[in-house]
Amino acid sequence: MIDINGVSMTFERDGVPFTALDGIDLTIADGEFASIIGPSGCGKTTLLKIIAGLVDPTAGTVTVDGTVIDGPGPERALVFQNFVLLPWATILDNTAFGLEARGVGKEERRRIAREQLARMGLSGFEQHYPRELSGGMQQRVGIARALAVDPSNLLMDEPFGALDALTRQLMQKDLLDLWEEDEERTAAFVTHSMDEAVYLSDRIVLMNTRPGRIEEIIDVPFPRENRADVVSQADYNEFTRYLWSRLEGMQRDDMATRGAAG
Amino acid sequence: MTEPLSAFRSVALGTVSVIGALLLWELVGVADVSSALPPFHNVALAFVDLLSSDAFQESVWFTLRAIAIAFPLTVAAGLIMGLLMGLVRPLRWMFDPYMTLALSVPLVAIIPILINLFGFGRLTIIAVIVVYTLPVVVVNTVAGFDSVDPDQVAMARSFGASRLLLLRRVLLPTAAPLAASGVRLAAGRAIKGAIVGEQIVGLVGMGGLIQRFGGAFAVEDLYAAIVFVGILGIVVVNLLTRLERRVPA
Ligand SMILES: Nc1ncnc2c1ncn2[C@@H]1O[C@H](COP(=O)(O)OP(=O)(O)O)[C@@H](O)[C@H]1O
Ligand SMILES: [Mg+2]
Repeated sequence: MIDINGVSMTFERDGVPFTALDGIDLTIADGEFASIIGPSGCGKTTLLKIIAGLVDPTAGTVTVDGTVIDGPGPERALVFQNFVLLPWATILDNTAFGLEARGVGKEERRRIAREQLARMGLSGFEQHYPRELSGGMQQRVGIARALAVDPSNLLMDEPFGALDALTRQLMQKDLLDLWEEDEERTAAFVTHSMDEAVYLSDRIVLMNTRPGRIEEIIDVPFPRENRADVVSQADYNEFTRYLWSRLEGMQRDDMATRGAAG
Repeated sequence: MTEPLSAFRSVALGTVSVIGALLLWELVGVADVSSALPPFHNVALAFVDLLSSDAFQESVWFTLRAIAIAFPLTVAAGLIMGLLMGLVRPLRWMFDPYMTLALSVPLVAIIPILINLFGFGRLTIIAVIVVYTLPVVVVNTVAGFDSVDPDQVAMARSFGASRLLLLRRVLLPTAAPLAASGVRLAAGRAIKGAIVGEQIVGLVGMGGLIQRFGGAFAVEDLYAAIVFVGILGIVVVNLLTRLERRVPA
């Protein structure tokens, strides 16, 4: 559970105080998937960094799983928009980084990392380096790295923002599948795509800018379990779904052959 | 696929270029345009003679030993200083002015001071090499730490990485390539510093020998000695480059 209480953030800009976040109150329940959406500059990244414990707010507190945070913690993991993999480390070592930071032994962390990479469809890439992978595959590693530490709260900052539309759609679907598969996990997901927010979340937090604040919190009226069906009711959707499955198949085949070659 | 071919082409072109230059040298030399440029074959003969002469062997050993003592010392000290200055801001502010100073003051201006301090022997040459190479290693290593990606630091922190893990997995791998190129630059400067130092001291090493050849207008010997120093530089820098590829980041 993530409980944000009266969080404000003021930056100094050319000597003038600048309010990036103004009195944010938000509770994300256990197991809830909440998307945070809003125009660029409204403070989404700042809010996520505060929840991650990377930035201290000027006012207010964040309580995660019952404890007021004062820095990063093992019950949270972060997925970055630009992946932030270490270019000199193999995919396996990148995936195991969080576990290494937590003092998990080499054999154990490699076993877990392999498992997570397999779930992400990246078996066979363990000894590759990030530059050998496409953007989508690199973000799969970013997600695998976060899931490897089995956090009860997953924080994602526009994780698919840097990906092309097809890859993006495929990743959304896979993320949702992983979500259903795993034990209860809470998610704070920053995006600026409305479709993405509707597809993935239980609730959508609409933010506005100047100063950064919450405008409205909207419940998504379809149950998450059959989200895919809701999105494709009309005949028109039958056709796009066919096209989509073809494209998906092609992309998956491409990944499979690259994996086998590597 | 194109890599072996282009590697071959670069070697081939390099070779052709060197052979062409030597041919031109020989032609101009034989034409006797200037006494400053003897024909290449005379220099080649002088080179062979030089290799077997006692004075030369003694000088080479002197210079090589000075470099062999000073260079590893400088590299170790430079990397440690660069690491500390890269990680600890106040240390950087304290030592930065000296590095800038050492990089801009001409070598020849410092040598008389070093002679006063350390005399006319090997100690002075070692000091010259250290003064000349240390700042290059330091400045490059510091620049390496400056190029650290803040996102990677944030990533490491978000997973609760210790300072040691951050250093091992993020900071050192980032700084290593620039630090290594600092070391490579320093190798060339170590040779240059040794020769110039010895020339000014005037008595010892390859630099001393070059000085004496120059003074005696022994042009062929002078060229032979210069060619030897050039080859030494190429060999040392290539060795370091190879070593660098072998050591994982
Ligand atoms: N470290 C900082 N110093 C000064 N201003 C900042 C800093 N970080 C963010 N800001 C400002 O705060 C506002 C919100 O930024 P950000 O959280 O990145 O927005 P978003 O992710 O919604 O696009 C922006 O106007 C940005 O320029
Ligand atoms: Mg942002």
